[in-house]
Amino acid sequence: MSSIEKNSVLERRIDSLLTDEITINFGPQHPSTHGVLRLEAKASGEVITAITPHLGYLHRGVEKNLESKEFLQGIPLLDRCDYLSSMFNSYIMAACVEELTEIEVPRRAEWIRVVAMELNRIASHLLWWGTFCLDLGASSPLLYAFRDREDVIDLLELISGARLLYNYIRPGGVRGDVTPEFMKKLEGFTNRFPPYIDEYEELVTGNAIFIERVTNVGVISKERAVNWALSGPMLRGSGVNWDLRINEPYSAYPEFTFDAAVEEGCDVMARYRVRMMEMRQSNRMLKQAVEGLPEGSHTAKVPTSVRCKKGMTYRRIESPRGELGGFMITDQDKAKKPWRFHLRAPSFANLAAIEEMSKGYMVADMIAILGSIDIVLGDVDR
Amino acid sequence: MSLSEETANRIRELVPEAESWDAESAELTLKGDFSTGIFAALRDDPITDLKYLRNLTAFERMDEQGVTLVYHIASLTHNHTVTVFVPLSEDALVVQSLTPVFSAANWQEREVYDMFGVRFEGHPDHRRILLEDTFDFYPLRKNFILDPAVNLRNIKEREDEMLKKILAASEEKAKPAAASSEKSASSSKSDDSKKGEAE
Amino acid sequence: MGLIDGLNTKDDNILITSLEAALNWGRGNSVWPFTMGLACCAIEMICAGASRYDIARFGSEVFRPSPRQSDLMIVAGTVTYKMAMRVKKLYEQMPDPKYVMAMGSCAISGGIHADSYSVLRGIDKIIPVDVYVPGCPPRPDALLDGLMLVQKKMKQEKLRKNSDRFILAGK
Repeated sequence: MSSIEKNSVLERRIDSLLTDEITINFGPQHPSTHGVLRLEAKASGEVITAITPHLGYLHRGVEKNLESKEFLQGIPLLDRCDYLSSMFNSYIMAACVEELTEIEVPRRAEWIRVVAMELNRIASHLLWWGTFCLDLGASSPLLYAFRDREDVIDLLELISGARLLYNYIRPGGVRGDVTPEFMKKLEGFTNRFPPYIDEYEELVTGNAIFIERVTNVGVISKERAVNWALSGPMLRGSGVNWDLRINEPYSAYPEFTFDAAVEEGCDVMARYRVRMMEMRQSNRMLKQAVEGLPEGSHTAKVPTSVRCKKGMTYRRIESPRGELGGFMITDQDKAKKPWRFHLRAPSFANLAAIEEMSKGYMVADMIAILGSIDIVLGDVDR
Repeated sequence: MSLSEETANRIRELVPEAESWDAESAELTLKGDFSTGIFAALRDDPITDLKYLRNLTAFERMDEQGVTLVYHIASLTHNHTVTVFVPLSEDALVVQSLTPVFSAANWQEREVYDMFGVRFEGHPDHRRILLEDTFDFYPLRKNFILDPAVNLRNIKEREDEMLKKILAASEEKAKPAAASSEKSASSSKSDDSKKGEAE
Repeated sequence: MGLIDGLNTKDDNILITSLEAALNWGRGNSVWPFTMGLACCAIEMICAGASRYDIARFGSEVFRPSPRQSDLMIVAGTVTYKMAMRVKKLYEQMPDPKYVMAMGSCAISGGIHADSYSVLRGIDKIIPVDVYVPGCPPRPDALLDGLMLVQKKMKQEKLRKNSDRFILAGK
């Protein structure tokens, strides 16, 4: 047999050698699923052909529990849904109640809320940045991120007394006024923080390996992103200029100057850039708050047991993960409890698109894509 | 976000079969047997441009038996939101699935099915999403009572019952899997999936 | 310093201790925790492992994602019925001797979610728990305190089979 013939036989064999499609199971206990998510991925070779997510491992029935709790009692429960951005969850309940009671929130209270929420956004994005880099195999960014996250947490602890679940924003305002000490520390932080972000960008963003891993991965087009109702950095990373703080203004945001972070890349890198830019914009807002925090009261006069009139409302805000909506119905005038409270969870809606985003990419890319969605399982499962 | 007059009129034209259309509060009410074509038309029309299904949920009505579905659909270019209500009666908890029109409806409809027991016809993957398949209740219905007082009293029995149910289900699941893995012990598929579950 | 000076001689050194003490000292100071991060408490657990709180000071920085390589399971967060069997399975996969820490109110008793229809009211219903760390969520300091309690427990264990504190008792 000549060598040419031999080769062709071998080639034919390689072509006809088909491997089985294998099923790879991630989770529910897996470090890169950011909680208790279970993904059942089908892979042909190393290329993903299908993903079936299994949810509910952290389903705690918050929506049902809210129906038997008073509005104020509901806030701690909501805090624990999206535990990385609990200020936003408190705000959504407060906003719904304020709409159905027509409480006028003092201007200072709204400003303090913005400060609290933007600090929380920075803390949430920092944790995302650290764990996202960890997923990609870089372990030192986590330590950098937590060094600075502790700084933010200290500030939040000063105003609310808690490190993670604040229960700070209440119907009518906030629980306690900010102190001069806090304002001084906040000013220090806003000056310290921009060089930190520069450091992150130097450390990770320009890294050739990092760029290779995240560019043109997990692409979702503008049209598909809208069809999937993605929100937050996922939507803005696909080139849709939609930021609820600007497009449907709430709280004191109209009084602040900032830009929506939009990127056209539609890939993991674009989402990464959007979040990095958002941290800078949040810092910009905090600076404005340091300079121009209005005088006044930190809360309106609100009875301990708030009573709402009969009605229905859907309020939505821009949480670090996207559109956080609260759909509340009360069944009678002077209602003490909601008849129904639905939390429109941004992670839940964003995670739904994982299959479409990961199909055709490698298994390792799926981890990067999952990281770029920035899910919080408490928010997905509620 | 109030609607412009042009949009309000356009919606009236596009949805002649609507039960009611309130342009002031942008609330549209449809019958339970609506066709998904309505939503496709509202989505594709350049004036209405309702492409963004931001929220889909349901609530139980207070005055009579039944569940009402709520769709919040928005236009990101014109910046308006329309709320669509679909009241369903207790004996016909079934509607057309919106998944062909909005991909976003996929999981949100599954959640409504999980919580309220409303069936969505034509849904590509009609399963429970958050609870175990073995659970035989729809927790957000009002006839599922979650009274803390009752709960604390029956805590032990409830728990035993629940754990027993899960145990039985997991045993049932394990049986056919074990049988098949014996048959094809060398198959990489079952090996891999087991390994993954453990780690 | 006396010890270092003592070691710094030309002769071979001998340290006299019991086998148990040496073994427990080694085990207690290199606890490998299993990251059973389920909910909010997991974030505080990461904080304890990261820059400021630095769990490495107590020899436990080696967070393992696999139960087969770890000896302390930190159950951080709410355990639902759907997750309960998985938690038990993972516990069974850990090598003996193994320890369990229930971190946060949810893992201890269901906490704020105890009224819910889907939450297990305390992981001690399915697996034995050694140390309870209360809080919602506990601060990283509290977690470190809990870790020290685990170490204390480890250091009291005996190799004698008829002892009350036999290392594999109840396992």
